Amino acid sequence: MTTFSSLPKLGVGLNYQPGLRTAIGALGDLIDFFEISPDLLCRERMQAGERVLDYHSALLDEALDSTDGRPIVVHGLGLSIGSAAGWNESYLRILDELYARRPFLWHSEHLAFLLTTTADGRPLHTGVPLPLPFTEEALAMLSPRAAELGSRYTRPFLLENFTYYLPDLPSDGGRDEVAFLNDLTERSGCGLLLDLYNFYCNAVNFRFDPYKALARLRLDRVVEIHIAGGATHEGFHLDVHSKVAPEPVWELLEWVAPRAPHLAGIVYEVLEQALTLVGVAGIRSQLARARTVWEKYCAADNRRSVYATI
Amino acid sequence: MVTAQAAVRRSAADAAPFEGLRLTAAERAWLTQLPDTPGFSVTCYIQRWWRETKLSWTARLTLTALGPAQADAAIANYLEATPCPSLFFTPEALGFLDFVARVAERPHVAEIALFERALLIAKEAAQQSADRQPVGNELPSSAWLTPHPAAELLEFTASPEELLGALVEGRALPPACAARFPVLIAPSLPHLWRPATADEARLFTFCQTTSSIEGLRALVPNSAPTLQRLLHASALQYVV
Repeated sequence: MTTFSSLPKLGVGLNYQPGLRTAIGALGDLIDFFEISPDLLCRERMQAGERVLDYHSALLDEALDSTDGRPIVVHGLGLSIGSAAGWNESYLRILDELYARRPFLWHSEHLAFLLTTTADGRPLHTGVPLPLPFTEEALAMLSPRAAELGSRYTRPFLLENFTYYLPDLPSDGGRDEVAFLNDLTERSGCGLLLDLYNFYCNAVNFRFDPYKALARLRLDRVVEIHIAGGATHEGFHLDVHSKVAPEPVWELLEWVAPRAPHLAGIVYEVLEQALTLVGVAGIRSQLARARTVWEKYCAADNRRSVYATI
Repeated sequence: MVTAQAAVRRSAADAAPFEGLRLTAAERAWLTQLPDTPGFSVTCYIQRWWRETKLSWTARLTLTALGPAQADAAIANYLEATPCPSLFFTPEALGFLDFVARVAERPHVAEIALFERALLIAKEAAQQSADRQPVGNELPSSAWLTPHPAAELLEFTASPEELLGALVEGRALPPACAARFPVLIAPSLPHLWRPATADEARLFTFCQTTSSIEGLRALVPNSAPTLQRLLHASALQYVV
């Protein structure tokens, strides 16, 4: 497996979605790499009781054509790595297919689960990603899975911290989200996709100091950072990717970037359905601002001098 | 628990869905108090919101045909009856459109739901270019034909142009009549659909039981051009 330190410093990226293709044309100069979610290019069908993902060949061709000339990384949606009964094998099949056509530099997924079973054993889709408890049992299940994904393509595998709303998640020995992420990356060798908007949402929703929490996080495992903006509902900050990133998220980025020695890319995440809300100008502003942070702290020439002062 | 709460289902069974599971006392205690927490409520809201959003984007014709009040009721009844099948738009939409077609009472709603369902399936097939068979100019007599799995022949009880035009323009729907208006939906058609001719409807229906070209020609005289059209539309395909 490629070590994090040997990854190229990509810069600033955008999540590719079919509905953003026209916007990409206007933003080209600000995008160093693309993040592709292969699930978004697929249809899902049931076959003999199993979920099967098949690429829409036209959508896949368009995605590869639109991102040609720049590196790609993968951010999956449907692996359901946290499902007790096992992950979604069909997702890995489409990932294999994508890698064969266009090798990605790293791949990532959500630290959550979507697939489960009812009490009488029938398969059930949760309809919304659900969090995992911060327990030894969860670590024992996840660690070998993350390790396997790290060696499947000899490219780093990252897990993304997740926004959750369920209070008092079961934990062992006082372990919280940060401790859980640290233990998981240590045991599995996987990296972190640090979603700063998700981290910020959890800090607001559960009233903890994000800076104190980040100071405990294994920032040397952070390979990619997501920034995004969302909505609120009944006092909760929601991970919706429908707006520009709020100022506190930018402040977190300024704090994390110089402290994450293996950070290789910053991605602004936005839903294609939110394009009319954010606009091309809005996306441009986010990418430009991320680039300012990148060039200040993360561009190769700057990193050595920045570390000398922290 | 999330599924039941998001569907606004209330039942004794839903109240204790973890009976029979191997849980520690702490886990059981946590689960017991969870439904009363704001965070659980928000989680259920998100699930429901995303399902409603998927339907609002993919079942627009049907929801318009239902009208606002009945559309809200149909969505609520569907969500209560049907666990989330997938995060993907199409499986959710297909389940909803099947549901509406089964329970609809207002004129035209069931046929519009079936039409919209067929359009979704044809659209997905159209995006799978690998599914398309090459179609030559000759019709080998020994060949056998069968409907394309993503093709459908439906009947409207009003002119499809009038009916769909009224839906799109927000006008009152035309009254249902005794006449039947066949409509062909197929992946290679421009816009995925058009009215079907009587011969097209007859030949497509005959092919529901796989038929040889020779046999079809005997049933419908001068059917070669019609068969060619149906093949080029990917309404019919050769049996391989």
